[in-house]
Amino acid sequence: MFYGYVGRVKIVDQLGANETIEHWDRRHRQLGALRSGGDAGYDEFSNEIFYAVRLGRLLDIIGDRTEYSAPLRILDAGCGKGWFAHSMARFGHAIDGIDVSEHAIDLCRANATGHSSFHLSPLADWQPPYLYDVVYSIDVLFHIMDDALWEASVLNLAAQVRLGGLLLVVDHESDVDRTWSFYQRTRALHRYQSLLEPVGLQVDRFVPYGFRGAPTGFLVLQRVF
Amino acid sequence: MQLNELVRSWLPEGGTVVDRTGSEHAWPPLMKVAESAPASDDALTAVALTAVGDLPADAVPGEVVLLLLPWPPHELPLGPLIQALVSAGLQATEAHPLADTNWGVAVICRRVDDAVQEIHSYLDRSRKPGPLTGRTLLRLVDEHIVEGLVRRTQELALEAVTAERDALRKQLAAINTTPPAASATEGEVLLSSDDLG
Ligand SMILES: C[S@@+](CC[C@H](N)C(=O)[O-])C[C@H]1O[C@@H](n2cnc3c(N)ncnc32)[C@H](O)[C@@H]1O
Repeated sequence: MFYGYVGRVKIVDQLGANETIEHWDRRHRQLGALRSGGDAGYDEFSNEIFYAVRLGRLLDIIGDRTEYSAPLRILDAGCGKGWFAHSMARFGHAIDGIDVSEHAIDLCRANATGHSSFHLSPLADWQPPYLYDVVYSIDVLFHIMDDALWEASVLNLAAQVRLGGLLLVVDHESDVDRTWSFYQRTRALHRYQSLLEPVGLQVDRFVPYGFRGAPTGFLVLQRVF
Repeated sequence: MQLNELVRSWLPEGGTVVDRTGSEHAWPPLMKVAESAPASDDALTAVALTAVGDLPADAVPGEVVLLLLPWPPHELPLGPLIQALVSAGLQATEAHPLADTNWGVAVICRRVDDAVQEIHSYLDRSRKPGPLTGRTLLRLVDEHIVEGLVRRTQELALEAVTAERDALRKQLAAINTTPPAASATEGEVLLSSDDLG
C-alpha cells in the first residue's frame, strides 16, 4: 500500500493495482449481493433502490430497443457480481462482463442468463476480436488510484467502441480531481474529455445518478471517428 | 422484433405510414396510413421488396424508408442489396430480423443527398447526424476492412469446431449403438489415442 509523509502531513494510504484486486475480492466475499458492489454505507434495501434508479438512467441513455436474435453487443467493465450485466442479458442484449474479482466473476457465471459471458480481466487488458455498441463502467474508474492505470483503462475501454457507439463512464460531476480515501479517487470530467476527444469520442452529456444527492453520474461519450 | 414494434419505435402516435407494400398488413392503430408522403417529419415510407431491383428510386432527401425484405437475415442477397441501396441513395441506419411477418428483415434507411456528407446515428435517433468526412470516413473504412478479416477467419474457425463436434458425435453414436457384448472392445478401439488425434 502506498504510504508517506509530506513534511508532517500524512498522505492517504492508497491501494496499488494488486491490492485493489484483493480488496474487491474480499469485499465481494464478505458483503451481501448488492452492498458489496453498491454503496456499503446503505443496507441491501436501499441498495436495491440505488441499483434500480441507475438501471433506469442507463436505459435512458442506451435506449429501449432490443433484438434478441441480432443483439446489441455491450461491455460491462468492472461488472462486480453482475447485477447490471444480468439485466442487460434479460433485456436481450449480448453482454460481456469483466472484473478483477475472481469471486465476483464465478458468481456472475453461476447466474448467467441469455447471451452473456464473464471474464476475469482488468479494464486495461480486455481486447476481444470485436467491437461493442455500448461500453459502460459503473463505479469502477474512481476506484483505480494510479493515474497511469486509470488512463490506460479509460483509453482501452474507449478503443472497444464502434463508430456511432457509446462509452459511459461514471465519475463525480466536478472540475477537480480528488482523493477521498485509500480506494476512492475521482477525476475531473475535463480529464476524460481531453483524453478521449483526440481518439474520436465526443462528450454528449452528463447524466447524474440523482440518488440521494450523490454527485456521481454517467458521462456519455459517442464515437464520432 | 415485431414489425409494428419497430414502426412504433420510429413514429410518434399519430405519425403516418406511407404504405407502398401492396400488402394487407395492419399497421399500429394509432398511426395514420396514407398512399403518398405528407409534408411532415413524422412519416415513414414502407416498401416491400420481392427482388432487390424494386428499391424505390424516388425517395426525396431526408425521407425515411422502411424496407421489408422477403429473406431471412442469414440468407440476404448481400451484394445486390447493398448495391441497390447505394444506387438509390439510401443510407441504412438500422436493420432487424422480423419475428411476426412473412418478411424476414426490415431495414430502416434514410434518403441522403448525393454528396452524402452526414452519417446518421444508429443508437440514438435524437442525435443530429455527424459529418461523414475526414476521420469519420476513415474510421468507417478501417472498421469495415479489419472487422471483415476477423469475421472471415472466425467463420472458418467455427466450421472447424463444428466439424470436430460432428465427428465426436458420430463416434459417440457408434459407441452407443454397438451391441453390449462387443462394445468394450470396439469402444476401446474408437477411443484410442489415434482416433482422437
Ligand atoms: C463498486 S464495485 C462496482 C461493481 C459493479 N459495476 C456494480 O455496480 O455492481 C467496483 C468493481 O470494480 C472492480 N474493479 C476495480 N478495479 C478494476 C480494474 N482495474 N479492472 C476491472 N475491474 C476492476 C472491482 O473488482 C469491483 O467489482
